[in-house]
Amino acid sequence: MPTIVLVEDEEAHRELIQRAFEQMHNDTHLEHFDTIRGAEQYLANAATGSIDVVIVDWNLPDGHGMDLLRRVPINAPFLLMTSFGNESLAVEAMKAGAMDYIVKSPEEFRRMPATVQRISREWTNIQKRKHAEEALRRREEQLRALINNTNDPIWSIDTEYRLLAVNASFQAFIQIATRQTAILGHSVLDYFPETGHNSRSLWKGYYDRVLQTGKQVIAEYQDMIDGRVIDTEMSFNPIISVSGEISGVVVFTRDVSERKRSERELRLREERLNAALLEKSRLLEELERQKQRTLQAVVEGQEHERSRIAKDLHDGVGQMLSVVKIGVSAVQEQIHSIAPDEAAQLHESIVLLDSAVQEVRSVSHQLMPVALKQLGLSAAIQDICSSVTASTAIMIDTELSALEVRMDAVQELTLYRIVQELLNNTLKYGDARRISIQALREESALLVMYEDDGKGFDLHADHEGIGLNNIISRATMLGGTAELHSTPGEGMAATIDIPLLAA
Amino acid sequence: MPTTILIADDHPMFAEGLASLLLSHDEYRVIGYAYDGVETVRKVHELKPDIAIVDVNMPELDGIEAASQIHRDHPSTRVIMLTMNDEASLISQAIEAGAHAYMLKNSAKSDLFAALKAVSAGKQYFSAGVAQILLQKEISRKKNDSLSTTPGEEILTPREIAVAKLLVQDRTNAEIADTLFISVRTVEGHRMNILRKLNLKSVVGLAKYAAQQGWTL
Repeated sequence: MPTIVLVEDEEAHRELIQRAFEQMHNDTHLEHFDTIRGAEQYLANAATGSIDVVIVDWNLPDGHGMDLLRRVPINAPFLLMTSFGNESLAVEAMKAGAMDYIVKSPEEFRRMPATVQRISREWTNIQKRKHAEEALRRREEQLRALINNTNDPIWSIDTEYRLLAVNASFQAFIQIATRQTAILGHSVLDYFPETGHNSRSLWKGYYDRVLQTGKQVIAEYQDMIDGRVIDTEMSFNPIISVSGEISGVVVFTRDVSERKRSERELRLREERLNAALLEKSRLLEELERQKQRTLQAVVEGQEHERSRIAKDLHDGVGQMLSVVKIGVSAVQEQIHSIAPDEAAQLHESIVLLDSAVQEVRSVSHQLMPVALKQLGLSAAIQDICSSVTASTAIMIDTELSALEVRMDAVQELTLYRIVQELLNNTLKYGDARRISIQALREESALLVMYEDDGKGFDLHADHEGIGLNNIISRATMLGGTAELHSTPGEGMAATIDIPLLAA
Repeated sequence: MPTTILIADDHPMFAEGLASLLLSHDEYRVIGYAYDGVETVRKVHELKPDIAIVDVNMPELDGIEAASQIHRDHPSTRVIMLTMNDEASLISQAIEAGAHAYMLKNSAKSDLFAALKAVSAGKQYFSAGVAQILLQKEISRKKNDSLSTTPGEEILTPREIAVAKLLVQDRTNAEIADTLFISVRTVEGHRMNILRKLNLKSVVGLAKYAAQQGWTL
């Protein structure tokens, strides 16, 4: 509900005004006072914005309408009423802050609601503008303070490189102790050295690019100040006039040393981390290689030792026994008169000698099969298979033609031992009727697939481990894999996958 | 005229023992020794003995290879393999190389002279143990041959049949590997073995085979 304060001591005038408002049928509330003091008290206590218009008569019992205007802070528009001929006073009133004045007349009183509405509207507009201006001013002040108080140099130039505005930090930046205003109008290029990493031509290049393209340019440069690395990021922005022309460049610079340092540290840390990870994987690989080498050395050592013992047995004991055997059998044939019990004794000795030779042969063969070295893997495996089939009811189905191409001696011996181990395993668990050994040669790999239909066993049981682990170790040694499967009741299967070097 | 003999053995002790054994037999005369395979071939070329008694396991060139070269270049010299090695593969290989006799070193003197006599007469001779080993090999070969001529599923192993059935169902190697808990490599191996054994080129042929066999998939 609009509230109007009316300060009027003349009863008749007040009534006319009141009637004018009543006739408008609006719900305007009219607060009436006869004196300045009464109105003053009311206005002083009224909340801002609660009063729409203050209508004041010039002549009042305790002073002029102007006095009220002077004493009360203006938070509502004042409308001054004067009598005819007192217009000069009105000018004074306007100066003091009144919104408007009327010369009292019945006509004006009738028009009062419209006048009040107009004044109220104008006052609101003025208030809005005032607020906007105030806000703008404050923003400008803040901006100016910001620009002047920032450590980051800021400056702008026109198309002729003349400085239009600079902030306080600019002087420190160009290391010239001239007053800010004295710099303005001079070419910015004069403040930069002719050569060096911070050269005039470099800067001119940036300015020209912005002036020509109208696009922002971001650049960085590094400097050394007091032994400290300073990284500066500069942004060159076009100043574009209302008509759309490029009228200059404003440059903002920012000290990004801190950020750059963190970035550098981060990068360094990342590099170190990467290096550490790389080192770790290298060490793991080395460890793996070492393991493989150790394994290989152990197996090779073992094979070497076996080979040596086999050779010793064969060359030493075996040959000696053979010579003795031939000698003794020659003696036996030459003796014609011999007691029957002595003949039996001699015969028994010869039989023992025979079995000793046989034993040496068999041990030496177990240790180092000559057929493997001389005829290769296929023949050597066929030999063990023959001896298995000859002495058991097991049938062995072999397809070993892929093994007829000779391989590296270590590869052959290792595969031979693997097959030997697999066969031993089948014999150990028994009940196998058939064994299948198949070799497949691919371009760069050799597959040996082994199957039996025996009892099978639990692969994970501890006591099964050693022989099978040996198989896996040997395959690993050749850089390959051994895949073993067995389930109690379903036999065993193995796939040995060995990489072959391209010939 | 005595039969001339070259003794080739890298064990001097054995060579001498053998020579002393032959010394009392006028019908044989040792005319030289060789201590490795290369020397053996050269001595045969130089001395042209009637018989070369050759060890299998010798340095430089093994006895079987030496026998093969002798048989090729000097067929008039007959080779008796005299060795500690009794592997069936070596024996077969020696026979293929042209050796006339294969003797084990613990043969009785009589056995050795029987061999010399037979070979001198242009016959072959194998000591008792050797004959037995060859026989065993022949038996196991026959046994295994019968294995692969058995009609029906028997030709494939149980695992191969399991893989074959899945292959016929158009499963990929990876799927089969997952189903049977084996690696893809093993599946590939089985697949190649199956096709090879059945003499097929592709899984299409396998499907036909499965139908013929009346497999329940």
